[in-house]
Amino acid sequence: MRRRTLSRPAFVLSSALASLAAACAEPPAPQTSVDCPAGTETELAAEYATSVHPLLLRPVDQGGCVACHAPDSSRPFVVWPDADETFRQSRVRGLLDPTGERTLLAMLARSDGLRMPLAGQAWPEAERSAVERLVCRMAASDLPPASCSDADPGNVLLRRLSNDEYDRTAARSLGDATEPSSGLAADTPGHGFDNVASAQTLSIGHLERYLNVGARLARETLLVPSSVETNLEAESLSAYIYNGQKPGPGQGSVVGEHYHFQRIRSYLNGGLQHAPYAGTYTIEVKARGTSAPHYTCPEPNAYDLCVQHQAAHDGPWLLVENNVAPKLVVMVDGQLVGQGIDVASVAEPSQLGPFASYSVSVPLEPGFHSVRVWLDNVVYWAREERDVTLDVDRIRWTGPLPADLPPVDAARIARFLLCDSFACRDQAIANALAVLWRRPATSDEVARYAVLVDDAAAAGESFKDGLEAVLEAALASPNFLFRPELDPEPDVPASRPLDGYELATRLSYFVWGGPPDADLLAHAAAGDLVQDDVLGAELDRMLQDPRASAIVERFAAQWLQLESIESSSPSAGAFPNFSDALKASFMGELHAILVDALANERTVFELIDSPRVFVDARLAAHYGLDATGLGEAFVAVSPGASGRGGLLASAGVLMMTSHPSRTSPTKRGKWLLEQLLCRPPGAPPPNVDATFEGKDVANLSPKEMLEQHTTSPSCAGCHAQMDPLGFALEGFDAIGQARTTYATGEPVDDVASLPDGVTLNGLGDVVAYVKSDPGFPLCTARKMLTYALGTDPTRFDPCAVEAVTSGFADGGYTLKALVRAVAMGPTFRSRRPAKQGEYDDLFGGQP
Amino acid sequence: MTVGDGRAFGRRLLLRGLGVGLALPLLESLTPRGARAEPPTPIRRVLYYYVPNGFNMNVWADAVATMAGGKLSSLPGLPGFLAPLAGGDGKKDLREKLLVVSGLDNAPANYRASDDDANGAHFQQTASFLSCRHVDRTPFGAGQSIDQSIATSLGYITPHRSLQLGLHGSANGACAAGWPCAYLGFISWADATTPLAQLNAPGEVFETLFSSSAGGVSPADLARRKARKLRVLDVVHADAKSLHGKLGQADRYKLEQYLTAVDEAEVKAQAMGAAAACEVDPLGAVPVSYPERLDLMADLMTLAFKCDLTRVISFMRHSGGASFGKAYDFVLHDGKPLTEQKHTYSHWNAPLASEVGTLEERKAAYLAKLAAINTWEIERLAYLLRRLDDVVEPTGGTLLDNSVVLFGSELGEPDHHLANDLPLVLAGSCGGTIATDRHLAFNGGAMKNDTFADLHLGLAQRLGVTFAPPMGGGPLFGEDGTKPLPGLDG
Repeated sequence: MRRRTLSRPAFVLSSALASLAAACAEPPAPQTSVDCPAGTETELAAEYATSVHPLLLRPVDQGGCVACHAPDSSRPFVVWPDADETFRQSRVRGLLDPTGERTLLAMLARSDGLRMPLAGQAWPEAERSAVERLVCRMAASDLPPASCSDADPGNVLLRRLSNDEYDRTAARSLGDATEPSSGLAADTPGHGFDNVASAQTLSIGHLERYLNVGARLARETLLVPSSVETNLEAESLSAYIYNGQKPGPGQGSVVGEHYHFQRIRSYLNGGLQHAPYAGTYTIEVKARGTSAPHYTCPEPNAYDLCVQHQAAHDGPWLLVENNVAPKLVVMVDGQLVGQGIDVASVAEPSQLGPFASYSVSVPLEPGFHSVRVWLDNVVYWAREERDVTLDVDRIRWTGPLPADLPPVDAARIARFLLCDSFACRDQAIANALAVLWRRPATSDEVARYAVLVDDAAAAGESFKDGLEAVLEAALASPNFLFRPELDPEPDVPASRPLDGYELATRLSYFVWGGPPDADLLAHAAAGDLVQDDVLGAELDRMLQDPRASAIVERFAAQWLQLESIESSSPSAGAFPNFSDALKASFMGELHAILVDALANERTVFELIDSPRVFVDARLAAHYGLDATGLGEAFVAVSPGASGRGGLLASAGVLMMTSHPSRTSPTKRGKWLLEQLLCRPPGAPPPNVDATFEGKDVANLSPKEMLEQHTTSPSCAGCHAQMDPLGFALEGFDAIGQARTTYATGEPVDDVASLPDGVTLNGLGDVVAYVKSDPGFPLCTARKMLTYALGTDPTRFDPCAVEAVTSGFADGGYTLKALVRAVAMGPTFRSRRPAKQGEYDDLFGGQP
Repeated sequence: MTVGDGRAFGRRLLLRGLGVGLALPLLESLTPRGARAEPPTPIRRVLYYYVPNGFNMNVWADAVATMAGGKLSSLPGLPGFLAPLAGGDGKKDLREKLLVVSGLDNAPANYRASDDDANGAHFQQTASFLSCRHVDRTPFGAGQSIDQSIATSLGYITPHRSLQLGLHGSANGACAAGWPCAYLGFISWADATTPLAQLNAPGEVFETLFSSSAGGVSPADLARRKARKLRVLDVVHADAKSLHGKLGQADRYKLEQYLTAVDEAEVKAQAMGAAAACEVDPLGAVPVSYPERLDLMADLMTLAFKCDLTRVISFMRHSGGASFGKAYDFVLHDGKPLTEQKHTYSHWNAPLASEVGTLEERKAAYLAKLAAINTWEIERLAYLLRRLDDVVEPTGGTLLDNSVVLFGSELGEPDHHLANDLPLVLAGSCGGTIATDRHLAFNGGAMKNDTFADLHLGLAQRLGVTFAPPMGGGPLFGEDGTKPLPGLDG
């Protein structure tokens, strides 16, 4: 039943050994100079265990191997100490998975032309002869394909919703489309995806924000919009004088139940007031005051202390024009509201009567707004000891006007508020938990949450208040934030099929990036989702649903690292024609390519080699294509001779793999190897000597400069693969414009050679190189499995990748075929508890 | 055919992982109301101010020589990139409040030949900055960082036991060869495997500090919220406990992180209302430019200390390695904005071929630009220090006097990824326990007895936190912190 898509015979293992390959590549009769009799699998495994494996347990950094194997340094060449397991995995990986660990055996299996050992590097003779003999024997033996019959579904760690998944969940389960994750801690992606459990940690910083955002969502889910009213008693507010200091003696104080302004510009701080909705808000001040007698002050210096007066806003200090009533000024967010209010006043404090109300209104956006009430004018002079005074009794904040309130979303409320009575407590709780937790709640859980409703009742709150607390807790619960899959025997690592609810949740987060819908949950409840036919039908339905756009927005965007386009910032000096609008068009093209690929069942090969290019008017001009009739929408046109249309020729990818002012062949090559072929080169070793001492490199071309990489053994291993792929794309500048010369006027050189001698002449050859590499579909499958399971790809059984790749091929290499191959396969549909010590590397042996 | 306009896609991507600033008011003045009982002695505080990716060590070597002896304040100014701390342009001279430290290594941060992977540059140094432990690609984990050792020891005497602040986006995409992003993204670690998420948006910091005080919440309403929060925490704690018993070993570990967080949230909820005593003025939109947001973060840190909302802050100007994805165009060199990120200039030994001049000229240009970035970093530090120094405390002295700010980077020489001879600036005397206005030089070389970890121990001691030797001997802190650094008190 299992089919092999990469039908390389076993002797490919020897291809890295050029000299030996000649001797061994013609089975069944190897040359007699090498003693390599054919053997059974058992015999060869035994030879591996006795003569090769012990040698490979040595650290990499002995024997001149570290130049190429630097990433593995002092680690042994083999990652599994057990010889039989290493042999099995090496067989499987060597044949099927050129992306495997950078072990010696994987190196032997490489088909990308990187020979071992590099010139000038020594390979200990005993090791060489033992390995060569084994490889030769395997070639001679014509072994059957390595067995994948017992593929291990692996363990899937407890996953937490990524921020994007949280948003999609809030949108679907709560009807909240505000993308609330903007209030959450940032994701810490691993292996390129935001949902990889091993890279997720949780601290108080995460939880606090889950609590805050959850509380807001709970409140708003049940909210009937209403106006707010806050009364601020003046005597409880703090006052400040104009320079931010507290009022001193005689500058204002609390008198009884009101605040008494006196002698100096000062304000009462009404703090931050909440505006729940956009609309008109009213600030009403209850006040009274005394006026000052008429006086003009033509010559300020004639008085001990003349008049101080200032408009509350940014006006200059003014001489007084008085006989003034106290002028009350309201400021919101530091801005004057209206023109100030003349408070009705009396001449003598003894005549002061009751307070009167004065109001100003102001249109505001939702949020918190600062409110201050000022006494704007002050008249004081020493000879008569008379002031303008103002007494404020209360400030009232109300709004918005009823007409400004949003309509009630009755359906949203009714989804959780099954009835507005304590009588349906348990029913409402069970409903809420089932919606948010993607499974029915147990009676214990319902009882636990009932306490929240009962406590609210005891505190005199309504049933709705209690239900709000239920939602708040349910949204902060690990049952919501995580996606638990509970094993009957969690410490016994035996595989089991997922149950219906587990499968529904895996499926929906995989295909939709969000929670399962009623249909899926109904099948989960009925128990038939685990059947092939029902699952297949549900999958087809899901792929037809608009929510399947998550495959583009979540999977493909992360696979291709497209967020790097957003963060790219080309130098304005080097590219004066670049703009954010152009950047948006770059992103738009990639979105269009991927949406088209998903909707119209394009093959993965068409992603890089397409007969159509998606452009809007701006991008067409950027690509030198005919923009006639184009506007803001992306339209498929013929690329003509431009070579555009595929990912590799898209301005977005070309830009995000460049430096701000220049291209980087290395970055372009690295992206291509890492994202499309899953052969990530290592990063430069520390203390790398990049000085090229003793050489006059000032006059070298960019290419000659970078070729210095390949003269240093510590750099050559990786750069010899990366740089040529990038050099062949030098016909495009750092914002993806076609070019034939560099800024210096030198002609562009986009011909480069790979280590195996293949010459790449421009974009077309790079496209052909990627298309023909069996690692490309395999890598795509591997990336999707990583995303689907949220699991570190190095932990997959290689057989699982092989099986998915096989289904991918059968389905014609379309994205939907790949989704089906993953979702219908045993790896996705089953799980096993972790083995003892399986995650020691991750948790430092802590559990 | 037509396929939409594609723009919604960009928006969602943009939102992912980026700290989106809330439209909260800008701080226009810092005006707390001291309603809380005043403690009899100065409150001591510590702030770890991290900048990524090292310094121009030539400039630093010259500066170290210039500051060889005597008081800093008797020099004509301050040498090299330290110059902005000496005032000028009407700005306050801070020299009397500084202790410049040279010659300390954070040796555990450096690559070792025995490491299982050689691609850990920046990861290893950044994760080790406050933990002083050597980290490996696997197993995952640093050590508890010094700020967390102090915070844990002080306990919840303030509403926030500690604050982790930063000003950078996600470190995604920068994580090479399987090294955990967390090593680059965080300097504060609650324990070996729990890095602490930072607040990266000024609006978010403001809300975190003042949400219960700035919203005009009445005491009754606050009490209601507090009771609700405690009840909610009880319920989710029970959920987690119930789940915990049904999970396998590895998943249990993940859930234990959740349970720990619930416990901490409960303690913080109990402290709700404390911040209500500190009243702040509210204020305008969060600025867009990076330097302005940096200064706003300095304002907020000042406010957090001033209102005694925390006594321990770690601030990460940017994630390790300083691969900004964007040119440092807010830094001028020769009157022109820089065109590359700091990381590019930090590898001054391998200047780009696209620059003008001979190799030596291009190296010199890179070094000069690196120094320009360092100068800019010190200017921004000086802004924070002056803000702290503007606040006079009721117990005497300024906030700066009563605190200690440790400014440094995970690297000294960035080109070689070495955490040796770290340039370090201490500011503030931590309530008179650190002798300032001088340069404290430690000798390099193989015989080094004093370490960066010792400095961490020295500062912790001044916060009243001491470390007991572990059973069976070994360092007090990190891998090579054996005693509080000698010489801090003159």
